[in-house]
Amino acid sequence: MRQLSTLTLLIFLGFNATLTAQRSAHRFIDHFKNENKCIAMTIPGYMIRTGFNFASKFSDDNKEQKIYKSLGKHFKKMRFMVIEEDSNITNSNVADLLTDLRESDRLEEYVKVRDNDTRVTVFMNEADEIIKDLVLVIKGDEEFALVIFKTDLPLNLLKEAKFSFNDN
Amino acid sequence: MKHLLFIFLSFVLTTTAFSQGAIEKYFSKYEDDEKFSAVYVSPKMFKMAAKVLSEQENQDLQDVVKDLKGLRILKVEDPTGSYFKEARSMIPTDEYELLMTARDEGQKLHFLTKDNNDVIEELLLFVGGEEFVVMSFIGKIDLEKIAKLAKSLDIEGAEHLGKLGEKN
Repeated sequence: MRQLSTLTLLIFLGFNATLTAQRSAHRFIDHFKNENKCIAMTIPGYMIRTGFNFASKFSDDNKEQKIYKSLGKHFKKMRFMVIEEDSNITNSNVADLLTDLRESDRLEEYVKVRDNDTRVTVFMNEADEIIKDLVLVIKGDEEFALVIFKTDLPLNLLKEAKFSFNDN
Repeated sequence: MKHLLFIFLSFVLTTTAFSQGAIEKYFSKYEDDEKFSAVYVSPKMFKMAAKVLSEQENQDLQDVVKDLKGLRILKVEDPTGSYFKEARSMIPTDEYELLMTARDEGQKLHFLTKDNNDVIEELLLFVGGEEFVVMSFIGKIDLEKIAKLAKSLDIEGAEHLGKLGEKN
């Protein structure tokens, strides 16, 4: 019985840890979304799919059209927040967010680039060659953007997309 | 006897930790400095890139990416050459071997490597001139193959990697 309680506690803690990272990014948006000149939006999967389908119409190449359509099917949800100017988001707020994301078990920091006042950090959760979460944090001098994607994007599809787009 | 062993082990561990930290320390010191541009590519990103690059890609490029475990770059205006001098003075000479120096259009190039049983585990590139660039490649490094990255990496200073190919 005691073992069962320990196991339940461990499962609960593990489940909680995996949610923390995503939650901290969402919490950040929730906290700042009412700022002046802030745009915050959640786009459901069917709208992203429609967007990709629409984009495919601009391509004359059948292969490229197919890839656009398949890419669209793998984006489940997108949530973003953009603040263009006079942002009250301080470097310390962003540093705290990045620390939370880095310390999460679910997300890993993949790329970090800083040039002058602009910092871009890319976090991903990839398992079994499928990208499940993608989080982009972009901090400029006055602008800030946070983009969260929920996906089930297979790396194979990225490989195909890369070659199809490179060929054209 | 136990005390001696303990002192010896502490000495070895401290020395290793200190020398491993020299480059890390340098990057940590400046990666948040606004004067510097900074890039960090994680081992996970290289692992993913190796999967996304298919057989159709240049085989050498695929091999290089597969064996890379990380890349860090720092770049700054350095008209007095003080950053170049500081960075070079921080490198533990017992651990890193000067592989090659070159002068190219007013720029000083220093290539250093850190080996373990004839396998290069880290390649450092210092570029001194009006701009100072330091690049640290970590992983199992084949100099001939990494020279070919010069064309593929769209990063200022990376073109100097081609010199490694000329050497071999």
